[in-house]
Amino acid sequence: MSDVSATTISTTQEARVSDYFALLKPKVMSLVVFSGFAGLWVAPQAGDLHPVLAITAMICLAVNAGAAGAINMWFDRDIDAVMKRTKNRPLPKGIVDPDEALSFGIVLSVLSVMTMGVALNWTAAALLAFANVFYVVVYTIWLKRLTPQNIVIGGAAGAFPPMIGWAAVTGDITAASIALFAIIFFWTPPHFWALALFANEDYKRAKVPMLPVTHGEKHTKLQMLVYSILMVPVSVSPYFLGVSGIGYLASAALLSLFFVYTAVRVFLEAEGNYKSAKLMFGYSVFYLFAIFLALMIDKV
Amino acid sequence: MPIEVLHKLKKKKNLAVLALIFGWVALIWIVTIIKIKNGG
Repeated sequence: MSDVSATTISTTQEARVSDYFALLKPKVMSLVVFSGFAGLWVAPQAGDLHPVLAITAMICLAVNAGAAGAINMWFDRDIDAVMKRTKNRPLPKGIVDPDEALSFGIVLSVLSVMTMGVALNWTAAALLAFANVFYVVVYTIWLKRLTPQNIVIGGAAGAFPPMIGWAAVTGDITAASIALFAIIFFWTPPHFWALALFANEDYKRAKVPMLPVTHGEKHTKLQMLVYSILMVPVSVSPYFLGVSGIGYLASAALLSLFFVYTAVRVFLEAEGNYKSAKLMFGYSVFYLFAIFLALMIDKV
Repeated sequence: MPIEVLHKLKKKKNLAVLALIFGWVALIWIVTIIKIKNGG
C-alpha cells in the first residue's frame, strides 16, 4: 500500500508539456528567431528561398536554441536553485527529471541540425551545430564557472543566429554575415553586465564569477563603456559592406550613440545605485530588436 | 500500480511527443517534395 501511494505521489508530479516548453527558454528563443530571421531576410537572393524552407530554417534555429537552453538548465541546475531569478525553473523545482531534460536537449539538438542540413544546406547545419556545442560546452560547462570573461567568449554562441539565417539562404559565410555576428558579439557583454550589476547578490550566492563579483562595479562599468563604444563602428558596418542603405546607417548610428549614452550614465552612477543599469539593460533588449528591424525595413 | 494509470497520467506528454514525431515526419516529407520540384 505504501509503495502504491509513493508511486502515486511521484507520478502526480509528472511534468506537464508546459514544463518542457519552459526548458526551451522561450524568451531567449524569441530573440534568436528574430535575429536569425533578420539574417535570412537581408541575405542576397532571399526572395528565391521557398517560404516553407524559410519557415523550416527558423523552426530549426528556434528548436536548436531551445535544446541548448535545456542542456544548459540540466548542467546549471545547482546554480539555478540558489539564484532568485532562476529558482522556479522546472529542474530546481524538481518537476522535470534531470536525465529527461538532458535527453530532451540532446534529441532536439540532433534533430534540428539534421533537419537544417536536409532542408536547407550543410553550411547552415554546421554553423547551427557549432553554435550549440559552443553554448553548451565552451560557455556553460567550461567558461561560466571559471572566468569573469565567461560571457565575452560564450556570448559568441548567441551571435550566430543571423549568420545561420544568412547561410540558410546563401550556403556560405561572408564579411557581411560576420558583421551581423559582430553586432551581437559586442552587444552581449554590456547587456549581461548591466544585468549582473543589479543581480550581483544572486551571482555571488551562486559563486558565478561575473565581472562585478570578481573585479568590482567600477571596472565592470568601464568595460561596459568600452564595448558600447566599439559597437558603434560595428553596428554601422553593414552599410559599408553593401548590406543596407542610408536609412539603416542613420538608425544604427542613432541607436548606438544612445547605447553609449546609457553606458556613460552607468559609468557615472554612484556605486550601489542601479537605476541607470536597469535602464541600460532594458534599452539593450530594445536596441537589438530595433537594429535588426531597421536592417530588415531598409531591405524592403 | 496498473500500467493503465501511468498511461493516463502521462497521456498529455505522450500525445505531445507523438504529435512532434508526426509533425517532424510531415515536415521532412514536405521539404523533400519542394526540393524535388525545384530540381534538387
